[in-house]
Amino acid sequence: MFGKQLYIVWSIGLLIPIFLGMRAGTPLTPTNSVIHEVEYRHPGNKDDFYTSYTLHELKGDDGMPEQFYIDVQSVICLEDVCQVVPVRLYWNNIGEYKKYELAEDISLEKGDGEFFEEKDYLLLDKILADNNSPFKTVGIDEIISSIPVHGEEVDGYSGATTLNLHSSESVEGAALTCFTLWHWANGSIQDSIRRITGDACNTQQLQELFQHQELAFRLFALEQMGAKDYYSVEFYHQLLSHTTIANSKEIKASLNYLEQGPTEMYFKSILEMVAQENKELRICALSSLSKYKTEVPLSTLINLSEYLSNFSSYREVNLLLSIIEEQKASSVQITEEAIKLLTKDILVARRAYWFLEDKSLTPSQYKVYKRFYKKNKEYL
Amino acid sequence: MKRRDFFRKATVGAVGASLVPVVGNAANHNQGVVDRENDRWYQVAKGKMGTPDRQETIDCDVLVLGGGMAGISAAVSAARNGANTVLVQDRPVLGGNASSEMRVTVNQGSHKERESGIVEEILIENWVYNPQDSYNVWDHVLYGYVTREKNLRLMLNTQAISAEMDGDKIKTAICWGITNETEYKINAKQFIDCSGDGLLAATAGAEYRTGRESRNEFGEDHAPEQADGWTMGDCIMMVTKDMGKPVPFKAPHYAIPFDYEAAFKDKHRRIKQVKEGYWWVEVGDDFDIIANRENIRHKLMAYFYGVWDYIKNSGDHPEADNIALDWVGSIPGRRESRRFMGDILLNQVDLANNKTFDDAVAFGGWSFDEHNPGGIEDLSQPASYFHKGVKELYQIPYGALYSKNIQNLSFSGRNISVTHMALSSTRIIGTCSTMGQATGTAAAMCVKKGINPCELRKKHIKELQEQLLRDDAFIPRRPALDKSDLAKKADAIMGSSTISGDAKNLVDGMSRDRADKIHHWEADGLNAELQLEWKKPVSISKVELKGETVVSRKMMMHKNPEKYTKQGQINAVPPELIKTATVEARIKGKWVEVAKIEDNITRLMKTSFEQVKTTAVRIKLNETWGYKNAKLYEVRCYS
Ligand SMILES: Cc1cc2nc3c(=O)[nH]c(=O)nc-3n(C[C@H](O)[C@H](O)[C@H](O)COP(=O)(O)OP(=O)(O)OC[C@H]3O[C@@H](n4cnc5c(N)ncnc54)[C@H](O)[C@@H]3O)c2cc1C
Repeated sequence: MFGKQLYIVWSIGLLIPIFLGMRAGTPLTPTNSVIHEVEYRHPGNKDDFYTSYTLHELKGDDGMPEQFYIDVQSVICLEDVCQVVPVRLYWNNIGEYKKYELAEDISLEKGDGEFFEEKDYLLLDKILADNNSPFKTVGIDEIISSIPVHGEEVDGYSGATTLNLHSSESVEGAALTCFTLWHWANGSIQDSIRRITGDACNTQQLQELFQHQELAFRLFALEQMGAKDYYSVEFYHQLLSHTTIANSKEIKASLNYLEQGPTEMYFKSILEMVAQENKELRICALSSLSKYKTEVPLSTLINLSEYLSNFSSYREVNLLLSIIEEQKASSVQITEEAIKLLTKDILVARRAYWFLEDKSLTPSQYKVYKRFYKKNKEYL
Repeated sequence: MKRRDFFRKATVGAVGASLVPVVGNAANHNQGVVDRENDRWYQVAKGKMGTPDRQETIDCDVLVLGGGMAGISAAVSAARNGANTVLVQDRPVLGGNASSEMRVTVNQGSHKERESGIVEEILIENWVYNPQDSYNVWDHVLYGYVTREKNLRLMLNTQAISAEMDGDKIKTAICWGITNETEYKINAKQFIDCSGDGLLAATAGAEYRTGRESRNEFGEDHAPEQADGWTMGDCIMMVTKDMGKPVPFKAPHYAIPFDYEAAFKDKHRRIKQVKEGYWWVEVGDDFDIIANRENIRHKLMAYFYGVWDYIKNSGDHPEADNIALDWVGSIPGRRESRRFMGDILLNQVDLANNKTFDDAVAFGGWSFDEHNPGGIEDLSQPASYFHKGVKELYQIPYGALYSKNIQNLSFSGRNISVTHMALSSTRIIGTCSTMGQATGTAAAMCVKKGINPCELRKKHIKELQEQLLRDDAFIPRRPALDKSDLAKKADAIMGSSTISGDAKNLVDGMSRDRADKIHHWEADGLNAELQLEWKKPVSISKVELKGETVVSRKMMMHKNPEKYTKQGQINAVPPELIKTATVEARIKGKWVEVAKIEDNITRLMKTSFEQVKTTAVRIKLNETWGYKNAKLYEVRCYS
């Protein structure tokens, strides 16, 4: 279901001019489809409660979820402002919006009664695929007041100017359609889809999925493994080796996953991450450790302290020393590692100096400590 | 009429009708506004005749005239910036058009972004003290907000009626206490006229205009071909209640029948709701709207009841069967009166082209919302000539906020130096408030420096802008560059685990996200920490933060509660805002708490403490008003 083949099919799907693909496209024959009832509260709805909708799941040859669709109305509410037509929205199996379809004899219309042109259909698809579109934050009221039929509050007419969306962000004259469909495509229906697919997958499949070249699929795999409370040694190794090249979003997701797992595995992972070249990874690991739910074993802290001198930023040094202070841990090794920092740049060295203030030092350590003080008095 | 007789008549009028202006002659004032010579007061307790002593002289640094939202913002800013300030307001409540007397919504200049600073503080505070969105309580929220400010004296029911001059400077404002028959002489160094009508400024001789400029004068394409005397009209509003059963309505004798057939030819004039009034029930004037005001008030009532009669009794609006009027305004809200001339006369072209001003101190963003000349008295025209054209937040320059010919006189609100067409955009209350914050701050600076606004603009405009930005005003495209801010000089700035943005953004001078770049730091969770570190010790006694109130989310109070859900408002302290935090300084290697923020409800969080010498400051953001993460836009440190 997540195999290469399908992925390519989707890519091609996206390359075909969507306008053609959608409107003239052969209807999918739901030979292998399942129906789910899902709850959703569309922000365009005035009522403050959830409504039940039918979500269609289309299964692949392997019997696994492959695509989902839902039939919705192009525009919510609003008297006679816009023509309301049925639209079918499609997602892939991890809840990413993929395309929309209209029945053959149906067209989308703008507020002024004009029909959508081809470029408008394409733009709408682009808007729906952008999960960070301005429609995420624009309120229904702004859309409504931007439609030149109004008559409420004094001076409220000025609302008509206020929806300052760029021409690439909204189909002119059809902001309400864009708003309505965007919230369908990017609302909590996506979570429902992820849950359904996640439930259908076993851990082996998820582990394979974690090798997917697209980040969204890897994040999905992690999320679902966490939900299944699955922490195998094999996957641990896979995950750790991947974090070295991961971006911060994925690192955080990985740490999130590990934080929920067995404690020993978590501490082991932190040690391994801190040993890596990737500074971002080290900082994320230390930040995670600083908030970890249980006490950190002294041995872990000692092991971590060996990296103090290698850290390339003050932030890492500060994080680790603060964790050690917080844990009230003390050991000869840690002290020795901290002493080494006294020769580093002033921010790092000063941090170590304050760290060492209440530690018992050997005579030679004390000498270094005092030397630092004499040299840097004005910085303290 | 002899001078004495004239004053006596005027006084009787003022006491009788409370609101009729008492126009005194400023030129020869030694005898006062009221002549007490004939006063026959037998004081029973003392057993003798006496004369009422009802005169008071007040000295202050800054006198603000008019307690609308612009005046409140000006007075509070002046006081906070160290000026001994007096605010006179001629009616019993604060708020101007936004008070319970008129109930105009405190709109934001742009639907995309709210104002921060004083007007935001007030709106948040309103949800704390007035979650029931009562307009009468709102009046008292404003009262509380103003009266708790030290350095600020509020004088309600006090009308400024004329100016005493010293050359081209105002020396004294002569004011009349409507409820206490008292004549006040208020001497000040700086005067800010935020009264909308601008009686005091006019008597001072400040140049002003009324009417519409011709298209040619400033190249304003929305302006009429020929200049004319038209002034945007006044309105009264209503609030209704649902009685749960049909209620009859009988129109008062003075109601003017509503010609709905003619009215509805224009799509803007419609009965879309029966909750809060109709902006197109508007009456203006084509020569002297101030002189015509009482007449207009009567007409508005007559037209309004005519429209309501149509709604209730025509059968066209069954949705109003159970609806009854609960409140109808008696004092019309005013859109336009005098526009006083400054060194800059802001026009439509400036706003539409988003002109950059070196002296920008405030901002707006509303469209050119030019109402129909004639209002409801001319149904042949559309109710509003509504012109698009303001694409982005525009700057308002300081040069448009003070008089070009009276040295120590500034303006804020709907009476500033704008063309009629520019006012059709700048009159929005949020925008007026940003002007007030600017002129109040500027006036305090003028007092400190012993100069006047024109000189402040020429020589110290950057200092004024920096102070405004520090106090959480927003000036589009103008980042803060305050050299005395030690946070900008920190050698390291680090936030605990970050979910979005970067701790470094907090010192980049922009305290809002912009379309092309974010300027915040959001921690992953609460009890987040922000640490600033300097190589060499610095002396610090103030740490100031700016938190998250989501300026893209609306915050105003409405007459029609449906709007809250429709606009996705949260009628409480913004959940994203920091509620509790602590500030620590590292002294000799140990973290010492120097300040605490508790129950905070403002975006700008200022702390001040005894100066400490330190190499690091740590801010612990412990709690928000509900949001899961701590989020900031700015941190500043000062000696
Ligand atoms: C009916 C109507 C609807 C509007 N709709 C909106 C809207 O929806 N949203 C929006 O943002 N804006 C709206 N506006 C515009 C907005 O209300 C005004 O532009 C704004 O209130 C101006 O604020 P201000 O503080 O300058 O003046 P005002 O609100 O007029 O306040 C001036 C104050 O000065 C006092 N005063 C006057 N003369 C004296 C004197 N001589 N001495 C002492 N005190 C004096 C007055 O009592 C008043 O309190 C509307 C205006 C009207 C009339």
